[in-house]
Amino acid sequence: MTVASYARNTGGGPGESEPRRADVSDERRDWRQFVGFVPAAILFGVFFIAPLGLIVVYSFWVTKNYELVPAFTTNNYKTILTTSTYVRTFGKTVLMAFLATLTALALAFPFCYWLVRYVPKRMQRVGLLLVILPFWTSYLLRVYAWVAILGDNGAINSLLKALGLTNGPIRLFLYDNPGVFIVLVYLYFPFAALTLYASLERFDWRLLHAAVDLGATPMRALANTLLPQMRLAMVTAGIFVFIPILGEYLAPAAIGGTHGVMMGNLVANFFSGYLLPLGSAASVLIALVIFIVLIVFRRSLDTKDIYV
Amino acid sequence: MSRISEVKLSRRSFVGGALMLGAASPLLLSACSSGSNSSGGGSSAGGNVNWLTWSDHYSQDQLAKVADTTKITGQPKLFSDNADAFLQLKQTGSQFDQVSADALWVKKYMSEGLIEPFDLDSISSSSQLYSMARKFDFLNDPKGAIGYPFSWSTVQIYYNPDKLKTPPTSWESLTDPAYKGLIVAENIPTDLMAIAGIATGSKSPYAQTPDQISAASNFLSALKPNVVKLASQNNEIVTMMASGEAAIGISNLGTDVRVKDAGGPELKSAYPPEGTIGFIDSEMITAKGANKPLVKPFLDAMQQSEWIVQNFTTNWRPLFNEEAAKELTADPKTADNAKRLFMDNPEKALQMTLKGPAQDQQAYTETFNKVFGA
Repeated sequence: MTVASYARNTGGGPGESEPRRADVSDERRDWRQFVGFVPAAILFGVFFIAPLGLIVVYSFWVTKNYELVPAFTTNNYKTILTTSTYVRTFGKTVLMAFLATLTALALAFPFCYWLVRYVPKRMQRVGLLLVILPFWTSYLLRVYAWVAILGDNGAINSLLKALGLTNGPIRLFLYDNPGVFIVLVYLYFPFAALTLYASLERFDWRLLHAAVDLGATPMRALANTLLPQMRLAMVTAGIFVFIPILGEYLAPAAIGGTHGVMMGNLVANFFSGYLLPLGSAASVLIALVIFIVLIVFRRSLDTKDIYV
Repeated sequence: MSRISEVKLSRRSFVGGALMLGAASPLLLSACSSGSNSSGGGSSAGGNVNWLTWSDHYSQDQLAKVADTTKITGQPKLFSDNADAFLQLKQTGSQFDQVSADALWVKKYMSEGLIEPFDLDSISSSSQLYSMARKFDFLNDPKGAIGYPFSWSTVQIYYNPDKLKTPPTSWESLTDPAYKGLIVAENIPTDLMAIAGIATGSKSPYAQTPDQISAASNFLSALKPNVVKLASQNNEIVTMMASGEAAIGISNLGTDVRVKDAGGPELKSAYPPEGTIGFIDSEMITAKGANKPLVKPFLDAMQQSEWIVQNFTTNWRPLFNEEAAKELTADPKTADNAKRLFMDNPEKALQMTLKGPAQDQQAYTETFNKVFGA
């Protein structure tokens, strides 16, 4: 339901049986409100829907001798879903995305809470600037910087050696799953923080005081007043973080070594080995998980909640 | 002049403007793209050569100098696996003018009609090549040359003796649990499957039977715990060996010199007694490239011996330019490495199993992914 239609549905006064002149005009103009959507629709149609459609089609084809053959088959899906390595990699990818999302939210929430409640407005901007600062450098650099931080000659090992705690380099997280996890949380923390900040900034803190005045403990006041109003922001932030992590390729490739492989790495191998149908089937399955997540959380994303 | 805040923008004009912008964007992008492509109809006019290649086929200063002298700018796009480049060329049509490939892949490109033959003599720098390199079967066709021979290398084992109690001696020895987390190799599924095939006794590593593929899979499974990382480009192997993050590298000739140049340790090499694979790189002219007339003058400038000398002293694997080999072996600073790394002995290139397309690419990639998945 749009804001306009919501207002229309609830706007009729008592005894008002005839639609007002403005309402008639609004209804007549209804189709025009979508015209503004056309450029975005063209953009998404050409650069998102069409390639996605192509990938779906490819996922039902086969390759023979480096040729794509349009012979309908569901074998690619069967292969992905019945090969233990692929299933394991798929499950690990979803789990990694889930855990990294939870951690990013868990870190972002107290940070934003502190920023909004205890930091003067002008300094909040500085805090936010620090959050988005990494975006000023390329994604590639941000990932490879972690190789330098976690590596044998990296910052952590150098510090430990300088402090006399180790004699030689120790492998801390690099080329394994924990390293990938840390880097993913680092990479996507700003998405969570910015979303939560935008919501916390608008929160009416008098509600908290009122709850405490009425006898609630501080934690209960938070749980009963702040968190329900943060639900939409939490879900949005979660989706912003979870979805891109599902398709991550570079972080596991650069940081994870042979232990940190995620589904994106296998898809890349399928594509570079000319196995477009298998790679496409794996990609469609990833997209399916995203679709399911969006379906599950669609109620939380209902914008009418904002105006209640 | 009116201020921006004073400009009144109606919804109609806003939507109209947005629509026009949306419609015009693809046209503008297309115009920019075709502009850069068509900027050189011939060698005298100059223009761009869009080039699918590896990072060790050029240097930035070389591209800049060649662009200065010929008005032809090489625009490299990198790939790692031959199959990847093959796929890109097949799907993009006229977008690329020149493509690099390993040995037996060249015939595959030709049979698919993706490249066109050319007269090697029409590229004057080809007179600097070893005569045997001009006659490689796989780089020639009845209609002419199909690949300009560039460089070659075997793939062998390099190791840091300071980090290993027992040095590796063969492919099989690399599965020793003592090497856990110490090996780095390039992420090229087809070639690693071929190495696994050689390690398990296959005589045709790029055309393994299902049983041989199964044996290769077992070998890779035993090898996996020892592999710390599959590198996306060869220079990552050099970086990891120089930093000490890997003690064993499955890599090209000259890796020891590159690691030393990068401030790393002294490496030793082991040539696996089971045999090995190797590459003979070449440059090809695409059949549909929008700027393909520029490729020959571009190649001519890029393949001059001065650049080949520079390439050797950067990447330290042999190339087929005889004139460059003479310069390198005559220079006391480079003579030792030039001789040790076979710059003056191109016949060695024919003793290895040449890289090529797998007979059953699907089985190769799937087997590899099943082993190296989570």
